[in-house]
Amino acid sequence: MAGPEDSTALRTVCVWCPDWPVAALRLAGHAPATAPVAVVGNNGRVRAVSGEARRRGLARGLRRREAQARCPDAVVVPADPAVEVREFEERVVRPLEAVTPRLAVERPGLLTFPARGPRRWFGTDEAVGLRIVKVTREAGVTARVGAADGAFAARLAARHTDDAGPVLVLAVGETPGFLASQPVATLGEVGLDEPAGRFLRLGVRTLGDLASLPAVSVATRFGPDGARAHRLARGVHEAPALVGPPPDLTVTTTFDPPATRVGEVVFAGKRLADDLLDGLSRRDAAATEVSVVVETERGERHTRRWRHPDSFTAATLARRIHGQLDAWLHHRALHDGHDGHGGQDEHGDEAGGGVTLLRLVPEELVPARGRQLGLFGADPHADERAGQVFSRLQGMLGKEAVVTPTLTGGRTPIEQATWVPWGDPAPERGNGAWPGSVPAPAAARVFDSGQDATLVDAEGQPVVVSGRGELSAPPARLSVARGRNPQRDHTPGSRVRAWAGPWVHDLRWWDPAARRRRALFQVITDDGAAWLVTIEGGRAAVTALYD
Amino acid sequence: MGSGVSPRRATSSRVEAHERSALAPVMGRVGPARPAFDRILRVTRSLGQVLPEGGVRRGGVVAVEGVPGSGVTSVALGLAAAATGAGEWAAWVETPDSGDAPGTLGARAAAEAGVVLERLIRVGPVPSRRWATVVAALAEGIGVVVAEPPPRVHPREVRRLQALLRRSGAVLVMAGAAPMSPALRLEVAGDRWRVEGGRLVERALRVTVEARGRPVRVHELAPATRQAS
Repeated sequence: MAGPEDSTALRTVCVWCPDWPVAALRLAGHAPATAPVAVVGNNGRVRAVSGEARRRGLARGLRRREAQARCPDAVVVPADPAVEVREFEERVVRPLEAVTPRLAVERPGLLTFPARGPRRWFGTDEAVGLRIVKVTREAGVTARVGAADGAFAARLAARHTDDAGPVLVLAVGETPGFLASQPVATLGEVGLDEPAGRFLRLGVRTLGDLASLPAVSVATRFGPDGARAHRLARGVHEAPALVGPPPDLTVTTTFDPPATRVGEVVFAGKRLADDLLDGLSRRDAAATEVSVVVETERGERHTRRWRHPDSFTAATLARRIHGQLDAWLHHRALHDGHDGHGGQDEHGDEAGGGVTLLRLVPEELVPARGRQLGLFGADPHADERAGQVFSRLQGMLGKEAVVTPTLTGGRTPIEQATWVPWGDPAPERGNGAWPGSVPAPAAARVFDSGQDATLVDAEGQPVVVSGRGELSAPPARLSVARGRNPQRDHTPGSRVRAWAGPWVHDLRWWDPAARRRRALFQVITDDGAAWLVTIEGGRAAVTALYD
Repeated sequence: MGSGVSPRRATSSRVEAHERSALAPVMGRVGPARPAFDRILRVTRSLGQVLPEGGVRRGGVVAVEGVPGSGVTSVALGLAAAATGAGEWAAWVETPDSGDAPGTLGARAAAEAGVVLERLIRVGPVPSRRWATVVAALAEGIGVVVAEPPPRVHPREVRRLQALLRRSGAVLVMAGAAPMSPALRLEVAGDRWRVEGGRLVERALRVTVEARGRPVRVHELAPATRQAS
């Protein structure tokens, strides 16, 4: 569970520029500033609309023709991803680097960073947010800011702002309540539209409804995506399971002679992205944050950190590399007067100065998919495969039928271990000495409820133990009720060949009403079987077998 | 990573040993991956020394038999420890009446036998009619499945299970009389205990090893040296 320290560690600020595809085109002068604008993507559908257009009934996802029919005076412009990246880099990312160096761009129009660093400078999350709004406004951009425990909640918080209040900060501890009230459709924010639709059809309307479902059933029924949705709904931060990836996962390519064309670098970038993801998948990991480093023969170095809400594929990573190179060269062309980049033609541009090195550094890793199992050792897929089987069996037999042990400390075999359903948090490991516990070796078979038995002395009298732990007489015969089958009940009784003990436990001695005393014996019967026998309140029971 | 060594199926154990030692430094670095030639799941401690190939063949059935209290569970735990020691999971499947040996598995004894508890799962009680399905599901995903045999299993299910084991490479350990013919049968007798200083100290386990195509051998297992638990 996230304690206060934890939540400050995952406190995240999200900066969102509404309708960014429109805003970027307007800033670049490719779309009119006041008329309603609809940006249409390659697939012929509306990708983004301006505020004016939205008020007149246009929305994302409409076909081009539908949009024109609904609002004939809207200006329809083709989307330009290069412009989106470039303008975002120029007007938002660069200015904000003065606020924090740990920016991670999720996509043009959306970035996140940890709240902790900048808060030390500005005092509160609100102050950080207002600062961002001010800085971006100076660059001509409308930005909204959300801050919360975890990236997902911060993102939703940013969505809940408006022009009058462009900053929404969820105080520490407010995040779970806020998340619970959100409709499941908000999962679409992080690419989980598909499970969100399935949840809705089942009558799960809010993230709170979703969070109240048992994790195992969601994981079994809806797979890894469903499990991820459930974690988000519960406000479980998608924490990197592996922090500080080993340096050998970084991939680098050098250009000799230096690459002078963007297309050449991007092509190499695709191969490099493949190598990186290959190396990661061999470790059963995926990257959610990658830094792209470019160096030129003029000794320049440009680094940008990219973030992906799920995890990068080679294609998505290659697109980021392309965008970054493009934006950077454009910036340099503007500021150095170096005519390296001309704008529209993306593949024919000169990578002015010549790129000598391209490097991809994985910054944040998560397990490749599904449940966050620990990566213990050897076979990297063993845990994942095992996990899938266990959740399937839990679906078949019930959660309590698939359990895993932890030694929790205690004096009897039953007390010494706790078995919890697989997937549930393990109890704390017990340590320290338990005076009076039966020494090793431990019995391999344990009877949870004890099995009735009689332990008698040579005269046939039940063996009893006095308050001081003294025996009435040495045990001579033990008979054990076997199984639940009454016919097999009480074997005639075996002669005791040897015995050891007793270990006497005085339980709850401080409470006269609840005080109990029990004595444990190790008893070896004629057939060589060794039993652990407990005598309590004059009754004997077998509690374990040394099998 | 790209070590350039491509594991290939070895034909003799000498080649195998050679490749193993050649790969050792690399394996240490890359950790993962079960090389294709690793057909034997090595068993450690004294139990490993009495097994024909120092371990058990992946994809096979091992039967561990003996009367209750003779040490069947302890020997089966030794096989489970081989899996968890190799970074794989071990499962322990219990039936409602727990066969001949009553009670459920003791975690402390498992730890003493060398099982890594973080990779041990206990499944059950599994009703007879579901036994084959559950064991099959486990055999698909994990290294060693120890199962107490149910009163009876349909021969068709047995055949299906054996085919599945061969494919997945999992080892099925039957703690009790196996409903199928095992590749390896271990009969356990452990009736001689040493009692000292007012407690049980250790016992001598006698294991009769019956491997397919090999003479039957009887071994005395050296008492396991207790590790600090």
